[in-house]
Amino acid sequence: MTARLPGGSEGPVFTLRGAGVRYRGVTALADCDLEIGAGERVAVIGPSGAGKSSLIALLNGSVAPTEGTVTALGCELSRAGAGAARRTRRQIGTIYQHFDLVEELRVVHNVNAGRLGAWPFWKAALSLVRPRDVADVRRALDRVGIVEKLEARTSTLSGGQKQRVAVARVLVQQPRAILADEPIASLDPRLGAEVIDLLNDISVDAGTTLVTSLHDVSTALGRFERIVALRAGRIVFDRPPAAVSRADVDDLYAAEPRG
Amino acid sequence: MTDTATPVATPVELREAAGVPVASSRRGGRWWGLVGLVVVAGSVASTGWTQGPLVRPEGFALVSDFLGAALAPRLDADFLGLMASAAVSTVAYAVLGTVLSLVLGLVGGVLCAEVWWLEGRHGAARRRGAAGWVTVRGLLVLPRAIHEVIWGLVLLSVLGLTPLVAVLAIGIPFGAVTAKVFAELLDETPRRAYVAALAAGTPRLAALLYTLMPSAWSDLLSYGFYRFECAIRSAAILGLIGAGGLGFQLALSLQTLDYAEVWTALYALILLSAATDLWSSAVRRRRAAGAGSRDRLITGSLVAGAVLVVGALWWVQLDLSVLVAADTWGLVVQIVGDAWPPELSTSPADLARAALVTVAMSVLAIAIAFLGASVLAFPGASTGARSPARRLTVGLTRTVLVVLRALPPPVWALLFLFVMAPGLLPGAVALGVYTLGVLGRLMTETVENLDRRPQRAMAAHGVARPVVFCYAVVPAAAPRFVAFGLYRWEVTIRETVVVGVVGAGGLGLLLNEQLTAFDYGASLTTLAVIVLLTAVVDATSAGVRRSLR
Repeated sequence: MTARLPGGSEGPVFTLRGAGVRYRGVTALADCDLEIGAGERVAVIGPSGAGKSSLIALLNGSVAPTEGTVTALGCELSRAGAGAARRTRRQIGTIYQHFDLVEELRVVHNVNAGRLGAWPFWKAALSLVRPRDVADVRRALDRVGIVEKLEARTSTLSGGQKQRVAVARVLVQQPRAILADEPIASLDPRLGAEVIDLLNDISVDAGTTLVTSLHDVSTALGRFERIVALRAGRIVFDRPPAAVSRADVDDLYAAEPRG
Repeated sequence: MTDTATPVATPVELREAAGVPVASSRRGGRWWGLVGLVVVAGSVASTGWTQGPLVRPEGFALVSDFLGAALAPRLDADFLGLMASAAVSTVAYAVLGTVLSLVLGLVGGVLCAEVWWLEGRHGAARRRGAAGWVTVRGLLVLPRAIHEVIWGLVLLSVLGLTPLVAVLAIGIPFGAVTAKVFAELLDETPRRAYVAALAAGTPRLAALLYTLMPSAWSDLLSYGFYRFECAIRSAAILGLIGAGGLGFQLALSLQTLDYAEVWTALYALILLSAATDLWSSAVRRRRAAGAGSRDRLITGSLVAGAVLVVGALWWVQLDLSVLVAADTWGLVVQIVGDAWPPELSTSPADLARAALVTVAMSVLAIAIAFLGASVLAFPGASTGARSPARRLTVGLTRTVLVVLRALPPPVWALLFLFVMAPGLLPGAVALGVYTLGVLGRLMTETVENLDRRPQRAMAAHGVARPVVFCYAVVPAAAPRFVAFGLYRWEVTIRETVVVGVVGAGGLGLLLNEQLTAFDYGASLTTLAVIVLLTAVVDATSAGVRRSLR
C-alpha cells in the first residue's frame, strides 16, 4: 500500500523553501522555511488569518506556492505531472474543520472515499451500489469508536461523529502523513480533546507524520512535540513546547505586532 | 400553504435561462417598459390589421363545424385502436429521446462544468483546463440554439422516415440543454468534499462520482422528469412533420377535414400531455420538499420510468443500422456538399422580411401570454381562503392553463389558421395561447410562494383587501413576472420558427420550403439567420434582466 517514492523514504516529509502564497494581492504566507521529518507531531498555532490554513493547503498541494518551493515526500506537487502529484497526494491524508464529508452518502461510502486514489474507476463506481472492502471500513470505524454508524446517512450524524468519520477516512487511506486543518474548531472542548488524542495515537502507532493547525494553544502545548507559530503569514517561532513561554504566546496573540 | 415565508426556489425549468434575476430598479424598469411598449406596438402594426380582414368570414362556418364536432369525436374501436397505438408511439419517442438527452447531458454536463476543468489545477494545467472548458461550452451552443423540429426536418432529409428521427431530434437539443443545466448544478454544489478528495490523490472522475454527484443527482432526476414532460409535446410536434405518432394522425385528419377524428386526436393529446404534466410536477414538488429515495411516489416513478424505457425500446424497435449505413453517409456528404457554401438564392430583402416577421410574431405572442397569465395567476393561486367558491375558481383556472399548454403551438396554429387570414397573426395567437398556459403556471407558483407577512400586517390594521392586493401582492409579484416573461420570450423566439413550419410565416416557413425544394445552400443561410436571431434575443433578454436587477 505505502509504495515508497524515490527519495521519499529518507529525508524530511515536508520541506518549504522561501515559500509564499498570495491571493489576489493579499499575502497569506511569505518567506516560510520549514522542514518536517518522518513521524514528527507538529502543531501550527497563531491568530485568525495568520496563514495556518494556507500552510496546510500548501502541504497537500491544494494551493500552489506563488513564490519559493514546497516539497512533499520528495515531490514538488505544484510542478510535478498530474500522475506523480496524485501518487504523492495519496500518501497525505487531510482532515478539515468542517469535515468535508458528502452528507447525502452513507458513512461507509464517506470512509471508502479515502481509498478512491488507490481504486480503479470501475471499483469506485460499483462500490456506490454495493460497498466494497467493508471489513476495513468497519475496522477503521471501530478504531474511532462509531462502528455502529456504518450504514447511517452522514447527514444524520452529530459534529463529533462526523469528525470521527473524517478520521476513519484518513485511516483507510493509510497515509504517511496526516494533515489536520483546525480539526476541533467546530467541536466542543471535550470532543475536541478526544479527537486530538485519537490523531496522536494513530500517529504514534503507525509512525505517521502529523501536522495540525490549532486555534487552542493549551491543546497544542500539552499534546504535541513541536510548535510552529505563525503571525501575519510569517513563521514567528518553531520550537518544542517546553521552550515556549507565556510571553511568547501573549506576543503571538497581541493585537499589534511589537517592535 | 404554510404561514412561514417560503424562500422562492428557482424552479428547475428556469435553470435553462442563465438564472432569472428579479427586477427591482425603478428607472431601468420604466425605460425598458417604454421600449417594450414601442416594440409591441410595432409588432401589432406589422400584422397589417389595417389592410384587410384578419378573420376569414368563411372560416366561421368551418369553426362552427369544428366546434360542433367537439362533442362527437370519433370513438369506434378501429379508430381508437389506431389512436392508442399512435399515442404509444409518441410516448415511446419521448421516453427514448429523454433517455438519450439524459445520457448526453450527464457526459456533456461533466465536460461543461468549471469544477471539472479548473478546480485544483495550477499554472499551465489551469490554462489548459480553461481552454478545454471554453471549447466544450462553445461546441454545445449550436445544438442548443436549433429547435428540435428543425433537427427533425434536417434528420428526416438524411435518415428518411424512421422512428430514429424523432428520438435523435429530441435527444440532441435536449441533451445540450441538459448538459448546460447539469454543469451549473455541479458548479453550484459545495466543493469542499471534492477538493478534499482531490487532496487525497483521488482521480477526478471518482472524486466527482463520490462528492458532487450524490448532491446533484436528485436535481438531475427532477430535471429529467421535467424534460420528459417537454419531450411528450416535442414528440407530438415531430409527428406533424412526419415522424409518426399522434401528431402524424392529427395532421392526416386535419388534411382530410375530418373534425370528429381531429377531436379524438386532440383529446388524446390533451390527456397525455396533462397526465405527464401532473406526474412530473408531483415528482418535482415531492423532491423539492426534501423527500428521499424512501418516498413511495418517487420510488414508484423511478420503477415506472424503467418500465417505460424497456417498453419503449420494445415498441419502437430502433434500427440503428441506418446510422452506419453507407447510403446514409453518402447522403450526408452530398447534402453537406450542396449546403456549403451557403447560398443566397432567397434575396436578402426577403430573408430580412422573414426575420422581422419572426421577431414580430414572438413579441406579439409573449405580449398576449404575459397579459393573460398576469391576470390568471391570481385566481389560479391557492392561497389562504378555503371557501368552495374560491376552490372552484382555482380548479377552473388551473384546468384552463393545463389545456392551453397541453396542445403544442403548431397544433394551435393549425387550428387558428382555420379562422384567420394566413399571416403572422394566427402564428402569434397560437404561440401566445400556448405560452399563456406555461407562464400561467410559473406565475401561479410565484404568487403562492410570496412572503405573506406584509399582507397579513396590512390586513391586521384594517386595510381593505383590494388595497392590500395593490400595495402588497402586486409589487412583490411584478418583478418576478417580468423576469419570467423575458425568459419565456427566449423560448418563444425558438418556437416561432416551429409555428412557421406549419405555415404561419417567417423564417420557419422559409426554411421548410427550402428544405422540401432540396435547396440546402439556401437552407443553411436561413438556419444561420435563425441561430443568429436566437442569440440576439437571448442576449437582449439577459441584458434587460440584468439591468433590471
